[in-house]
Amino acid sequence: MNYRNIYDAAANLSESLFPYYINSFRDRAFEKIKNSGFPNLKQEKYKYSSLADIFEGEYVPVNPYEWKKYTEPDFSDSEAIKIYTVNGVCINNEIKSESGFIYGSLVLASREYEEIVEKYYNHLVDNTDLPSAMNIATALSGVFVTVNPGVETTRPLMIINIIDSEANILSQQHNLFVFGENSVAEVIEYNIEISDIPTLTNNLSEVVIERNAQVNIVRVQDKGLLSRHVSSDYSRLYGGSSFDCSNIVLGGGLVRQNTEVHLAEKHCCSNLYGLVVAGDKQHVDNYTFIDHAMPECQSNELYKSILNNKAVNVFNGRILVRPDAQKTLAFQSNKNILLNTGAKIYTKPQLEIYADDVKCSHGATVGQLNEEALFYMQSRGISKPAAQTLLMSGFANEILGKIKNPEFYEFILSRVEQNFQD
Amino acid sequence: MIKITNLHANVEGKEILKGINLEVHAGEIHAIMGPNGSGKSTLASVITGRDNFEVTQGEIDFEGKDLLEMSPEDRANSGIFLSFQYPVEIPGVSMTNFMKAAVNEQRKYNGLEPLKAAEFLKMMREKAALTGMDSALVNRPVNEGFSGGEKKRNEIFQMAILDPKLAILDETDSGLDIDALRIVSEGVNKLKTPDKALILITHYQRLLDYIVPDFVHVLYKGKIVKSAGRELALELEKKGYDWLKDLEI
Repeated sequence: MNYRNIYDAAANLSESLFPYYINSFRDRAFEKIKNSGFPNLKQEKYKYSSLADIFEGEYVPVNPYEWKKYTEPDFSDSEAIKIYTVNGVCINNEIKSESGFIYGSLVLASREYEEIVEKYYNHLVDNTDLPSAMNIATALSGVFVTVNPGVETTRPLMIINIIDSEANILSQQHNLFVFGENSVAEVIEYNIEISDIPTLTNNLSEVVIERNAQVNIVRVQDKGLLSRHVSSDYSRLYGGSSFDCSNIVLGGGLVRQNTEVHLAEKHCCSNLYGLVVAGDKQHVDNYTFIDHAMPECQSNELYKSILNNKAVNVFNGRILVRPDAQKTLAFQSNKNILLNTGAKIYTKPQLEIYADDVKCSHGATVGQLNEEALFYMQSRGISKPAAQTLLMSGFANEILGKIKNPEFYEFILSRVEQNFQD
Repeated sequence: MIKITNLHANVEGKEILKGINLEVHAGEIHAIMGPNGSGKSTLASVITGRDNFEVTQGEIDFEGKDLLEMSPEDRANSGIFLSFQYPVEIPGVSMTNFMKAAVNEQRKYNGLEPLKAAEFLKMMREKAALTGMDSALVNRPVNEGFSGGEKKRNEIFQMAILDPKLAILDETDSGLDIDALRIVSEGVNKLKTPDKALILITHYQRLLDYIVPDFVHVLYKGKIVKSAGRELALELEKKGYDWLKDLEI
């Protein structure tokens, strides 16, 4: 099916799955796609990654009633609460309450937690962004997570998204996270794949962080080289809240991540971290947008990459400081290591500053592994390949270190080191 | 222990070492002195196997092995240690991970099992105490944000952990104030045993007040032009290096 047929199929199914307030967004979002088409290189925001060919291809839509069996990925048992989705669909059609989290299928939550879902669903999304519009128009599943005001969760919540299909599916989930005032939470999202055919994932997350909440989200994408993975993540921070968000990309043939953070009230602090470890012919594109709408907020961004073979990495970091956002602090840094001459990095800071009393900076570096450091390690008896791995792990660790859960940290570190050796 | 015979070496096509002969036995301390640019650091680099130094002639025998045929890591694991003149900062790699990797590679080389985590940490603590290394630095990335003195002390700390047969200290005294120099020297002296040897590369004689050499060699224009006992160092201190210009080389 092409995207038009997928829309028609979704329109038929959506009535029985979701209430009107969700389905009411679908038509308008699809109109947008019909009018504009999917983004190609002519659009500034997608200058280095055309998504038109991919979205205009033929896909098999996922049956939202089919809760597939799954194989548990092999990482050591962690303390985290785990939710699984297969091809975007929650495998347990239930809402649970555990260790401070209320979580489960968005389909159920859209009725059982209607007052929350209706208030926030599609309130943060940029509907002019075409992959986002496609998700709004056609996604039929997702994860709902909320933490009540004042609750400090006691364990991390881990969402494991598995693509497992023998057909070239289009998998889409719309996730909604609402963290109440003064809540504290840590969420891990781990994206993997069991298929070995080209599939397309087009996920969207909305993250609402109410006043004085402290939220840490780690997203890891660890799929196969044939998969195409697009995700659009929108967050909104209210007064005094803080948000740490790490995006770690290890797999995927074509990866596009839009990460937008809206600082909507005073005294918010957002820290975005990114790590890309890519080789082969992987193409990874991270677009970030920090919207400083109000005064006295701070944002930090640190994106790093290690690129091998013919991998291409794009970092486009947009920061908007609106006229009211005086006393803004906004810092951005992008650091890249190219392991050979075939790999490429396109790095593009984009600062738009309309307030006059602000401190903003950006910087980008591209380099190789430090030969002096390699020799220093060899002179202590460490073999050259081991020294290279140590150096690369050291470089990556600045980002990996943001994973607070020790078991998951060790697991991802070993996955990263495995990637270095491939 | 180490025997260097007629060693010639080039850097970027330019001959820097022009026939070095040097033999160091177990239990001995040798000081190599000389003016800037005479080839002192090049000699250390060639012994430890740094890239971009091309040996054109001569040989180095280390305990019966042809050193020049060995990789830098194998040289280290056979018992050679270089204390760097400019220790390198390695962001993101903690001292603990760095030393754990080094110790376990050395053990693997010697056919031993990796150290257990608890044993390793105990050794780190002991060696830190022995060399006066601030234990807070042990958890930090290698040399990152260390002061000049801390970096040099870290070299001696690593030396204590790896326990080499032959240690080469390249300008370990440079950039150290007198207190730091004393502490670093005490560390070196504590590590000295009769089955080990030490080569001190230094520009000034003041280090030799603290670590007393058995032999002093003067390196000039890529050759050892004079060798004698420790009195030579005192003579150099008085006379400087200008008299070398009058020698016919």
